Amino acid sequence: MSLGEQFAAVLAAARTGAEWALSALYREFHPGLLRYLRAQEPNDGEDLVSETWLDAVAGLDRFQGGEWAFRRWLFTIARRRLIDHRRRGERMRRASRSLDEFGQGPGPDDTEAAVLAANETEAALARIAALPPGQAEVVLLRVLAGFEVADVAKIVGKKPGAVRVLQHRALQRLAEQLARDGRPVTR
Amino acid sequence: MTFWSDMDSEMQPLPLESDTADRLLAGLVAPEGAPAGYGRVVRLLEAASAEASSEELAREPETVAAMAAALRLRVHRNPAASRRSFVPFALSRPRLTAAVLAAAFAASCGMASAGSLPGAAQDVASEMLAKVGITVPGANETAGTRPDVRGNSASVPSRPAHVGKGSDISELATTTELTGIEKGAAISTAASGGKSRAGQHGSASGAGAPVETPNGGGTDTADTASGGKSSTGTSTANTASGGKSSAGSGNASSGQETADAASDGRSSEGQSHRP
Repeated sequence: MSLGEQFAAVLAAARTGAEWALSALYREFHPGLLRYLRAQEPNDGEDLVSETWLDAVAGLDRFQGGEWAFRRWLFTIARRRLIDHRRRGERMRRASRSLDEFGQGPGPDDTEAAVLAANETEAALARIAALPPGQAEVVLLRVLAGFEVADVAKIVGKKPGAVRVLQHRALQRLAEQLARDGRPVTR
Repeated sequence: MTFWSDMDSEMQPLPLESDTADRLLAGLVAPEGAPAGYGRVVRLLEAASAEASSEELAREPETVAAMAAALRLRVHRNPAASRRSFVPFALSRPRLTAAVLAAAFAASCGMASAGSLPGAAQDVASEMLAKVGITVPGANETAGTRPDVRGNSASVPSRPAHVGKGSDISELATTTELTGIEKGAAISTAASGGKSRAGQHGSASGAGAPVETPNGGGTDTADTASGGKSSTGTSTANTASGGKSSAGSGNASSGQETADAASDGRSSEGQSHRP
């Protein structure tokens, strides 16, 4: 689902502060942003995505491009927010709590129970987030935002070849973990 | 029994082509069509990218309202007005110049009335303000016992004799009545206030005489070094050179060489002593 041809009109209206246009942008891009940030910072994902939106609004007049460029721009802002957040030193303090919470959630030993729970999406995101950081980020950007390898490479500042390697290793690791678990992920 | 740690080492990576990995992540492969071992991965990725839940969009109203407020604030902000908000009143260049001049004039008047201006400026200010009926002290009225006597050299009052010694010394130095040691002694005495005793240990007549040395000079050394031959050479050289030779002032051998050189080789006896 995308805004398609309506994007230009929506963006122009959003620049004037029209709430209907801002709502359209929010509904289109917010879920992916929220999952991307919450998967990596479970406790602060909501705050980070709010900061991302406000940053985007502040720079809305400067943005140029189509819908995919706008999507990439938004995720670039979100990633910078995430990096800033971690640099502030809050990551180490809250990461332990996050890991604890993840530990109580879906782990290699209780995948079925977690996935069969009400929130399959969170369980799947937790599984991806448990990958090494570089691999997790690439998979999240590809799956949640629908970016191609080239887009991901631009956002994370790596070469496309490096992104391909990361995503390949990530999928192999996920397959190994699920095979080790021995039970299917059902929906 | 097999532990998970053993499984890690036993399991081989499930084969996956790079293009297939790309298609899996793009959502182009169904779980049934995925390579062996990757069907569950596809389901996991589908779960991660599922439709947005109501919980995820729950904060839409406040977030959109905040975004709209931020945008309206920015759109309706008048840049000129925002600049003015930081300046209490706008000053044009002429007004600013007039304000600076007025402030400077007021400050000068204040300092003049307090007598704090420099001497010349205080006099000028006193005269000018007196014309408009304002009385401020002159330069010397607030100087107490040390009035300002600045002006041209003609107006400088004659200085008392005890004030300085420079002119006295200058006068001594330029006078032609004294010369030599006597002149130096007089200058030194004047400069030191009578403490100097320069020139009092000798007389001008002896100043040009040769200084006697405790040793006989090079002659004695030459005699000693040459076993008395030097004297012979020296006297011979003197005789031969008609008194031009100064031989004997060095050591024995050099005394003879000196004698030879001074006598243009006429010191034949000296040559006989050469090695």
